[in-house]
Amino acid sequence: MSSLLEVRDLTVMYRGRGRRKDKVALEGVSVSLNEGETLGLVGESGSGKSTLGNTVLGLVKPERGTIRFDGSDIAGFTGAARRKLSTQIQAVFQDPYTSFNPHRTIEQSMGETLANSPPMSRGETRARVVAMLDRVGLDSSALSKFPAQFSGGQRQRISIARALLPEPRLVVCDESVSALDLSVQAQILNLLLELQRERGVAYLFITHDLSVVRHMSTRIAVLEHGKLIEQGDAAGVTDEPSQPYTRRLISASLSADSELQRDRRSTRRAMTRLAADATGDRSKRADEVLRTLEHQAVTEVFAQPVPQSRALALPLSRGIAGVADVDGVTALRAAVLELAPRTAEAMTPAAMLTLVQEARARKCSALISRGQAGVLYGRIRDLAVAIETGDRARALELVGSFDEPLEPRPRSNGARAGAHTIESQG
Amino acid sequence: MSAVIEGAATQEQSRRAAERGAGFLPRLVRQPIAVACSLILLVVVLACVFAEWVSPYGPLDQDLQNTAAGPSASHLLGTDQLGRDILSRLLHGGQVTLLGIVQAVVVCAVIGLFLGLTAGTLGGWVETVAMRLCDLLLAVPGLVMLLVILGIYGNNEAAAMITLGVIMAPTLARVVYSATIAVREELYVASARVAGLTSFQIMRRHILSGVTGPALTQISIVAAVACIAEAGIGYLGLGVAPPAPSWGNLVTDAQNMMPISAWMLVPTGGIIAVVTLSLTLLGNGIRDAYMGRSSGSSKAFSWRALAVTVSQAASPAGGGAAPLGQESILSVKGMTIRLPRGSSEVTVVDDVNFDVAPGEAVAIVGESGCGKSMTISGVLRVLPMGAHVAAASIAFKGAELTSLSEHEMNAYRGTGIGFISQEPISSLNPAFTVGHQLEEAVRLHRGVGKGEARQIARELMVRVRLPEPDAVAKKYPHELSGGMAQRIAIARALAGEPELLIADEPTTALDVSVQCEILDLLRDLREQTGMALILVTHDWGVVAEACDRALVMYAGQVVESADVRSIIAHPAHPYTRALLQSSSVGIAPRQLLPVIAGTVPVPGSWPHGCRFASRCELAEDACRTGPIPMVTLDEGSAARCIRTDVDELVRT
Repeated sequence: MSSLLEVRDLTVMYRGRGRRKDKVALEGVSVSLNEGETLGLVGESGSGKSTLGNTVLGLVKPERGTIRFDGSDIAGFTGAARRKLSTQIQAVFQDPYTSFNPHRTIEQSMGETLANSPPMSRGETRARVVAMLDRVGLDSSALSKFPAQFSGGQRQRISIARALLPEPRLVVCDESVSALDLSVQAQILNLLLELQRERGVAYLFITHDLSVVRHMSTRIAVLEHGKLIEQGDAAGVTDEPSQPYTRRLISASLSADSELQRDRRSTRRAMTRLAADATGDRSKRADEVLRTLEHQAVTEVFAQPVPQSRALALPLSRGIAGVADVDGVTALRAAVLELAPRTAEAMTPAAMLTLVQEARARKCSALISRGQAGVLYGRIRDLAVAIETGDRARALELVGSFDEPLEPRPRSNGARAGAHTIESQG
Repeated sequence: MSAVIEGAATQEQSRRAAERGAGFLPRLVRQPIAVACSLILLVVVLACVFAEWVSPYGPLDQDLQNTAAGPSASHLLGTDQLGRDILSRLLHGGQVTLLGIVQAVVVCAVIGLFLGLTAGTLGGWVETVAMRLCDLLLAVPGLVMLLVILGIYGNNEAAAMITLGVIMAPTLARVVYSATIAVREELYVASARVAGLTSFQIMRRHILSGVTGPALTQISIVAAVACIAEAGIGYLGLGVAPPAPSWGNLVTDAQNMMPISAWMLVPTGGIIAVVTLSLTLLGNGIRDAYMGRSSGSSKAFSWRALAVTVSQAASPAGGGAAPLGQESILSVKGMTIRLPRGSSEVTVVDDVNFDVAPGEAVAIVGESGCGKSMTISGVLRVLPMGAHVAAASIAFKGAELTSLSEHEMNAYRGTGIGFISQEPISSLNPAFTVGHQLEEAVRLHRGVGKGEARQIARELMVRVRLPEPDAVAKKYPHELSGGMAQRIAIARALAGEPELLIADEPTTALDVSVQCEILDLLRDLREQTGMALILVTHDWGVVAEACDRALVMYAGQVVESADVRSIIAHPAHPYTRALLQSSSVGIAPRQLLPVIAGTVPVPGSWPHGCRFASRCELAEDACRTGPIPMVTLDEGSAARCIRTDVDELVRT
């Protein structure tokens, strides 16, 4: 499928006035978006994500680079040519309070977006506006009202209706739900998703909220200080980020699950302690990081809608023979962290990863020297079963017992049956 | 179609909305002073314009029987030294004066609007040239210029008034220019550009409407100044030559006759005063009508508003704070807060009860308009004017805060109870360095000298983990990032060594990675000092990360109170559950999220029964009949719901 929007090597400068220096807002950014899909733009304040949206909208002039929309480069469009694009590219802005002129009625404000559509009678215009308002859940009494007479959520619905009125192919959503309360935010996100399914409109979805962007996007691009950090399909970027900056962003986003949050905090603190500790007993600190990471991995698994132990299937399928040497044991144990994207190798900072791997290798050789490789195999197999059967308490107990010398208490037949299915999966 | 019309607008809501949304003119008409001034001006203008027909005598007709007489039936405003009727002379003279005002205003408006609008909309070199021209005109001494023009053109009123208009044009141009700049940055102008409107359409539809208010206000002031100036010119004898009347030379006549008839000064000076005053007050009215409409809150707190009043209610009216086994540091019992709205009051916080144990972190969760910020403002007593707090008890470390005077309350703010706000940068004074502000707080709360304060301030900055504290101390708030400013705000809150820190959405304005650092910092500080924390937020992630216990507020009430783990795992109140589900966590990407239909009812339109009933799928008749009490559940948790037994079934 060819791209609807293809931004190549885009550079935007904000010219300083007087003593203020020029500021590079975007530097050589290239992103693309297909028809009917959503490209999420994430980044912290000052990353240039809104600048990118505004450049696509023609509100900011780029210094260099091309913006291909439907095959033609619109970066240099001005005047009438640019205005004509308004039927194709629309926007929903962040602040529902200032995106409407307070002195104009909803009908006047909404009618504006049809300025460059083929001329139609007043009655026709009104009919289209009413139909669009109806689609977003407002009735025709809204027409003669002023923006101040609506709540934030209602205004954002009107913003969406206004943007979709000329049936555009691309809508730039610049922090469209950031100013809204949680329950209203969910309503608006649903509306955007439904409209996309009905009309095949593509969204350039700009936000700082990772959970929202993950929910809405097919592809995600990450920006930092005006540079593109990484770009890829949504699941790939959020679950297996390739760049440290993306990892930092993801690991900083919070979950409403308090136990999960506690485990993440423990890991974070253990890592901070390890990083801060240049001389002392680093191996002990690294062990702590490994322990907290493994614990977190299990908590993360149970925070998923359907807990799955797929990551353990392959190493377990090698059977007890797979843990004959240190490499085999280490590989099996390493799989525990792969249970959840957050604890996977892909998310661990490189410097930390080496220390964790060392700690794991140390622990595993200790297990072998104690002749406990088989016990670990059994525990990890039971862990897989506990995850598949949703036995959270047992799973947490098991993950904490990896380095304990004692035999874990035996499990029932059900556990073995479960283990069997795991092995057959692998 | 899942989109649901948000909340059936209640009467109160629509009435308020209508008030806010009504046009500019209706708003102006609602102001009695503005209406009275308009009427006065209208009468004066009409009377002057139709002076030929309205006035009882000609302006030069003499009644030598009655010279310098006071008011009588035949001469309503008396006569002058030559027996001419003052009323008639005022009306005819008014033609000259009013014409002068019109000349000045028209010239001023045309030049000012043109310069201001073109400079504001076109920008670039046009902006530079136009604004420099204004600077130049402002540098010309107006009075001298006026006298020179009058000298050249000799007693030519029109020339003088046109000159006056030109002299006053730069001020108007600047007002228009700054209003244009402000409107140009508005999101709705960006929207209009995205909509594909031409620059001219944008100027006509959006910029003019934003500029009208300030421009009209300025123009009314110009008219008032022109009125006085015209009178001044006439008074000096530089305007219309006697015996033809103008308001200015009538004052001169009156002054000459002062020893014989002081009365003459009253109507002649009075008319100038009345017209000038009316123009100025009308300008104020225009400004108020304009501002009121944009901000939508002009009537929220009227001048009648009094200081915040606090009263101790007789006894806690039911409710159910989670009883704690230990002594609590803060204990709020039956707190109700009412704010003035128009002539009545509206309840925004209704019978709130809660306790905070030493070292505990309590979250107050809810959507906007649920009263969570008001609740903490009530505790700190930093409320809008005219607010009324009634509580059975607000006890901090055993001291009853409700019985304290405003002055005594100051001893607790900052010292016992610290506060940090959502906007760290605007909570700092832009005129001083952050180091100075921190030292000031230290000196205030610890009563130490300058040197020691500096030392402590530096220690505080190290404690909040500011990199390079000495360099940061020399910076001004606007030079800091949001995260750094919030650290400074926390350091300042710590200056008083508080035992309770109240944080109102402390991380909402910050980036996620900074949010994480700030929450970690708050947790570490709590562990180090044993300080308790009340954290107001709408973000469940922040609740889970930073707090031990949560109070969920809905429509001014606490609807659920439990420890964070159980409230998130097993919410008892349907609102809590719905709010938790609204976050996209745990839902497959790009699938529809479960939503709560409708919106939070606004204060003043709360139903008598359960306030969530209209949005609740479990609601039954019993929910709507009367107020729902807090029902105590297991593990010291409580929920304001009579159907928690059903919830249990729904959950599983």
